This record gives sequence, C-alpha cells and structure tokens, in this order.
Amino acid sequence: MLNLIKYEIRGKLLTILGICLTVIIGNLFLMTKVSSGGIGIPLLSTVLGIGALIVISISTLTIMSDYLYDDQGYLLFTLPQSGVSILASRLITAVIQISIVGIVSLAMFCLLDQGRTWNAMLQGATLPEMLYSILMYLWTIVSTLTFIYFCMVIGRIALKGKKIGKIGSFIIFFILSIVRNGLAFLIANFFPQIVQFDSVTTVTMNIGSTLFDVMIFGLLFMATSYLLEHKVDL
Amino acid sequence: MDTILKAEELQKSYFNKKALQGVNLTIQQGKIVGLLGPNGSGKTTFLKIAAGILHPSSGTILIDGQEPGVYTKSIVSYLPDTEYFFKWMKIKDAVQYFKDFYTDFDERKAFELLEFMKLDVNSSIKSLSKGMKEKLKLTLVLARKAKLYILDEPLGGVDPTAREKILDAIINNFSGNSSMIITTHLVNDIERIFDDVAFINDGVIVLQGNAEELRQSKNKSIDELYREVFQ
Amino acid sequence: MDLEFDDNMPIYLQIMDHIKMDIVTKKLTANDKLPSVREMAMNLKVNPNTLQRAYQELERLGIVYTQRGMGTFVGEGENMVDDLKQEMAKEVIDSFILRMKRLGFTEQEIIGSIYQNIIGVK
Repeated sequence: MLNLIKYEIRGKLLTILGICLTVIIGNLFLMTKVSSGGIGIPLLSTVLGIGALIVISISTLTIMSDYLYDDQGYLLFTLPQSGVSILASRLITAVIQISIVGIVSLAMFCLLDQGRTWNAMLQGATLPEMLYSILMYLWTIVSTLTFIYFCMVIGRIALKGKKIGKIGSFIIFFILSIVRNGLAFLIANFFPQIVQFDSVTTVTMNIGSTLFDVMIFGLLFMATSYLLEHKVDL
Repeated sequence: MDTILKAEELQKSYFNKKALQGVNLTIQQGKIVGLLGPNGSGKTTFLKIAAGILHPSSGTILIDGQEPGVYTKSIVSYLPDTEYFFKWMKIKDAVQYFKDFYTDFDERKAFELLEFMKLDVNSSIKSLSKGMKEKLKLTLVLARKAKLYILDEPLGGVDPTAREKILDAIINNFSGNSSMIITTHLVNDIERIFDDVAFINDGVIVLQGNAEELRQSKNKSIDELYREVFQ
Repeated sequence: MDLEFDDNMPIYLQIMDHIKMDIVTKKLTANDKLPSVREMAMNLKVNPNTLQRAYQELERLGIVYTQRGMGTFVGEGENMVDDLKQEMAKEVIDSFILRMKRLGFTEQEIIGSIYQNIIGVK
C-alpha cells in the first residue's frame, strides 16, 4: 500500500507543483496590489486558493478514471494488491495532494493579510474545536471521494464504453446522492437527538444522521474494495 | 509434476457475444504451451482471465490450485498486448516499480536482459520506439521468477531482429519450475519452442496436443496445421 | 551448429539424427561431451525439453550416457560407431529402394542402375 501511495504521488508531482507554483506566484502578484485593492485583494486570493483546490480535487478523480479506463489499469490490476489496499492508498494520496495545495494556499493567504484572520481564528478556538475541524476536513474528503469512487467503479462495471461509463457514473452519483441525503434527512427527523458545542462557531451534530453517514461510508468502502478486487473487467 | 493451470468449462459472455464457450485446458509445470488462434478466437480473453483482470461468467480456472486473486497475481507474470507504462517513467523507474511490488523480481537479471536487449536504463519510456517498448515489457516480465508466464503476442509489431532476441530471451529464461503460455499468430517463428499446443476458435479449444507428437502423426509443421485448422 | 530443421517432422528425431551423423563421421568420438541441453536449445532456438528428449532417447539406445551434474557424453561401445553406420546406411538404402520401386524399377534394374552410376561412370 505504501508503494502505491509513493508512485501515485510521483505520478502527479508535476501537477501538484504546478498548482502550488501558480498559487504562490498569483499571491505574490496580488501582494504588490495590496495597498490599492482594498477588500478585493484578499478575496481574489481566496478565489485563487479555492480554484487550486478544485483543480487538485479533479485530479484525484482522474487518477481513478485512468486506472479504470486507460491502459495503465493493466499495470495496476495485475499487481498482487487487494482492493482494500488500492482504495485506501488512493484515499490517502488524495488527502495528501489536497492538503499540500490547501496548506500552500492558506499560507499564501495569511502572508497576504499579514496573519490577521489567522490570529483572530486562533484566539477564539479551543483545542477540541481545532481537532474537530481537522477531523471534519479529513472525513469530508475521504467520505466524499469514497462515494464518488463507488459510483465510478459501478459505472465501469455496469456500462460498456469510456464515455458512457463516465456519464453513467455521474448519473449514478447524482441519483445516489439524492437518495443518501433524503435518507439522512428522514433519519434526522426520526431521531432528533443532537450533540452541540459552542466556541467560535456553534457546531450541531445530529447523532442519527452522523451514525448513518459513518455506516454508509463503511459499506461503500467495503463494496468498492470488493468490486475493485473481484469485479472490474479490463 | 504439478498442474500449474487448470481451466474447466470456462465461459465468458458479454452483452452481445460469447468470447469463451467452455474452454478446457491444463498446463503442467515446466511446459511451454502455445495458444494459437485467429483474432477474436478468445485467446486474449482467456489470458486476461488467467491474469486476473477479467472475470469468467462460469466455469472454473485454478492457478497453482487457487482461483485468480491476490495470490495468483503474485506468481503469474503477465505480458499484455497493450502499452501500460506510466508516461512519466524512465526505464529504471519501471524496474524499481516491479522491484517494489513483486517479491520474486530479480533486479540483476533485469539489468542483464536490458543490456541484452540494448536498452538504456536512463531513457524515458516516452522516447522508446514500439519495438523497444515490447522488449522492455518482456524484460520486466521475464525478470520475475514467476510460476506461470503469460505472454500475449510477445512477437507482435516487432522487427525480425528484435524477434530473434525475444525468442532467445524466452528460451534462456526457461526453467523446470515454471511454465509459459504464449499466444501468437506468427506460428512459424516460434513453433519450435512449444511443448504443447492448443488451437482455439470461437471460444473453444478445437485441437490440442504435444507439438512433436502432432508433427509425427500429422506429418505437418504446427504452422501448416494452424493454416489447415483455420483455413 | 546451425541446423536446418524440417518442421514437418518431430524435431527431437532430427536432432538425434544429426548427433548420430556426427558420431559416424567421427566429428564426435567416444567420451566427447555433448553441449548442455540449455546451450543447444539456445543455439537451435528450440524448447529445452525437446533437447532433453533427444538426449534421453539416445541414452536409451545406448549411444550416449549421462553423468549426473557433469553432462551427457558420447558412448564408447566398440562396435557402436560401426553399428550406427550400418543402421543409418540401411535407412538410406531402404528409402532408396522404396523410391526406385515407386518409379517402376524392378530389383534387378535397381542393381543395374547402381552399377551404372557408380562403376560405369569411372
């Protein structure tokens, strides 16, 4: 599994560096305009950062679709690696990729506004809240990606053809998302118990729907691993 | 002598066609088997199933007694018909890749073979010609001490001098502990290295046997027999 | 060794014939070591098992013997070379007679034509 991570990162090294460089240069350029731009400058920096994150997120999807549809899949799927190993390494690499870009964007933004926003955030925040944020950040990436990968793998197995497969995956994702959110909503209504804690922001978590989300993630992870190992036909 | 591969009534159907309609094939340890047939006969489908990247619709296939999976992938060395390397790699990266993922990979042998094939480890894979890529694929596949080598058209799209080298590498790599299954439609060039041959057409084995015995009983070369069977 | 093989016949038989020929023409003599199976296989571009079979058959016929770990060697039977020579000659003669008969020659005519072709020419 570690080897898979190593090679996936090496494969996308240019992309990651390219994006980071763009963010850095873009922000350096913005810094020269700080005095004259007003509120627009930090805004542009944020937009740049978000753009960078979108690009790197898309790249986490293209890696999987390359495996499923391109000749590279022959190399990966003949390795003696289990489906769990392949999926786990993919998720970990994605977290690493996104985090690198995220940290660079955030760092550049802080440089830009001289750390004012950062300090303001840190003052109000408690340790549990910071841990919670990080946990939520990781959870969002991992659970969303697993969900998308599941739809991609189903699309690959059920539908023939690259274009049809990809469009089909998207449609499946769309439909399943609605179903999933609908169910989560229903569960939240039936079990309105919540957990709440306040600090900088008030965080409200519905126990029922959170448990539901975790269960779904677990199920989809196992299902995707199984399908990758036993059902993908190249 | 152990049976390294045993396929029984192996079938593979797609929505609109049946690629394999009941293939029965047994391969013993230490044998080189030729799987011969025209395009569309099912030979690539069969090899992919043995390699574990395609799954049968019904029937069984056992490699070293196990169904295709993580274990069989570790003892099967597969040469596919596609160009499957990552575009960012140099030859030495590809060597390292195989070394990292396969415990049976023999790095020293890989470098020997690369030299034999006149390939430079520092060249980028993007810059290689088709023939050189074929030689590289074969080098990496043969550098593993696998129990079963599956070679899909190892001589395809390669000029005659390269073919010579590839055949030499295959013969030299032979060991009594491993087996090979090779598909080709260049039967003439390669028939002398087969122990057994199996002719496949429309998803079934139509004729199989020991190459020498077939030569004796039919008084024909395997190449001629191939032409006769497939008109 | 660059043999021309006829793929219509079992290759191991052709290899055996070639070795027998070498023995008869004294290219190989008693106790000479034959090339290893692997070496020959590489040179001839033939499956090593085929070589193995040829050697094994020759050993069964008493023409060669194997020493474990050392290799395969030409046998040293006294009359072996002569016997081989006679055996191979008989094959040639039998085949010749058969073909002449197919052409329509009688046995008397066959002898006559041999006489003509060998002695008559001088």
